[in-house]
Amino acid sequence: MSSIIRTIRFAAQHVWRNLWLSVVTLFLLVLTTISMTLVVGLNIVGGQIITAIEQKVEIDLYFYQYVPEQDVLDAQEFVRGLPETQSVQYTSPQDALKEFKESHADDTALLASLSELDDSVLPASITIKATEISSYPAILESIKNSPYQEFVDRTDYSDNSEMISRIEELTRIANQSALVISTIFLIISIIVIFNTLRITIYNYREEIGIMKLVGATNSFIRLPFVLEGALLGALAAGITLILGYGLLFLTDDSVRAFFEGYNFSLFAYAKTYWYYFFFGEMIGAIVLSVVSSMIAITRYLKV
Amino acid sequence: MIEFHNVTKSYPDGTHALQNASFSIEPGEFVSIVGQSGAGKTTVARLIIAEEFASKGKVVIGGWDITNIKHRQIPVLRRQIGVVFQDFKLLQRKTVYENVAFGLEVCGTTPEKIAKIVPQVLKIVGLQGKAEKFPEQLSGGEQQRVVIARSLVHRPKILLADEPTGNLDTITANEIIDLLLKINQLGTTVVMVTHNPDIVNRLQKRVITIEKGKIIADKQKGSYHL
Ligand SMILES: Nc1ncnc2c1ncn2[C@@H]1O[C@H](COP(=O)(O)OP(=O)(O)OP(=O)(O)O)[C@@H](O)[C@H]1O
Ligand SMILES: [Mg+2]
Repeated sequence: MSSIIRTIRFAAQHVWRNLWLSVVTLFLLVLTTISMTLVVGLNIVGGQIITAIEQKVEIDLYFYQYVPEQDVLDAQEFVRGLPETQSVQYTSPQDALKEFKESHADDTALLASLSELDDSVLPASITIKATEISSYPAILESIKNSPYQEFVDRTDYSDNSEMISRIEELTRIANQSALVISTIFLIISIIVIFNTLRITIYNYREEIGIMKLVGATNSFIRLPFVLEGALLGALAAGITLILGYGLLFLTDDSVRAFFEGYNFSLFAYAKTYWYYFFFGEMIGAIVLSVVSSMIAITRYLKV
Repeated sequence: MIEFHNVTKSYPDGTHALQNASFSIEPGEFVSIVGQSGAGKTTVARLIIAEEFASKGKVVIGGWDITNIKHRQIPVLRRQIGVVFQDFKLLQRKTVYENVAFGLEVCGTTPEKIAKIVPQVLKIVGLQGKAEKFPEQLSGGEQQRVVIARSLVHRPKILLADEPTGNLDTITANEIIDLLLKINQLGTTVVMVTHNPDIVNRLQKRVITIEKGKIIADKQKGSYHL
């Protein structure tokens, strides 16, 4: 027990005595962790945006005013029976008017003029959601070939597939650049940690010499150096996490405003899944720094 | 306690530092190893603590054949040998107490034990009052006493001193020798490497003389002349 505490104390001492070097090393490690988090983050953001947009895709069929409600309901049943359909929702003229009023509750002049109208001023409609984004054309085709086509006044199909593929493309490019940057930082980090450890080992050559001669075991001599790497890694992960959450918190309002109507908050996402990021970054940074310190130790710490 | 059986040591560059050397040191002895610079004295010391390994022959310490000692067992060997080496200095950033305690700390000794042992060895070397001083606040002789104190923390059966009086004036050097004699009287086998004839001649103890890697004399009440 006391040797564990002692080892940790030695490792902390290494970091402290080389404060400047530790700071520079930490800085680089943080950059590496950030850029690697970015790769993961970009994937998440891209995926989330696409899902959000996909959820918005739907077909609205507006029926002629003269079509009896029963025919509209039959049309709904027909669409529901299609294999590509996930859900169909019927909106009666009354419901449509109610919705319209609710969404224009602030516009008193408009509401006043509406109240004079008869309550079937808006057409009946059905809203169709497909099981997959690619199934919409098939649904449209089936409707066109059905007897219900003649009741349909207007078809609203917000085709976002163009936008989705653009976002997919953008995510891919961003992802690749982040990956390249991460790899560069990764290599730089390994080199810097390796050299930090080399310098620490050099600075501690007297202590190491004494340890060897008084009969300290190899593992006891090495452990503080491995731990030094681990400590730097853990610190870097902690700093990255704090920076990341700070940034997300500060930008949350504008990100949300940007994705208005899409119920999309990066901050909320990160808050829900914080432990993934926490453990991911911790493990990543620690493994990275321990591995590079091990390389330095095996090369320069001859015990 | 220490046995060399026909030991030859060649360094990788081809230097024959020791050739066919044989001697045996009994428990409780005080032995000086003398010889000119480059004779192979430090090589003998390094072979004893398994810092170097015999190219030929056999080295036995306390009945343990360490000729082919496993890497992992070296710490076990070294905890039984106190070492005072030329290039084995004190840590300037640590106090006398901390320097001595360091030798125990790094071997995993508990803080309670450290608190007990350190004052004891400081008393043996006569530095009770200087525990909180830093090395630069001490004289050369006092510094050497701290090094000796540190070498005693594991209560070693053997004390191996390579040039323990190296940079000291005659009076201080004699004080250090007296300290080594005292440690020897407490039951520790002392092996001292030196090339100072005055010290050896004053001691009137066993002397092993090495010349160009060969043992040329081994006398019970020996002397050494340049
Ligand atoms: N690591 C080494 N590699 C090659 N040659 C070495 C090495 N260490 C010592 N030697 C050589 O071995 C010979 C004996 O060296 P050693 O250090 O044992 O001498 P010494 O008797 O202790 O000398 P001194 O009194 O100057 O300390 C010398 O010729 C030296 O140059
Ligand atoms: Mg020597």
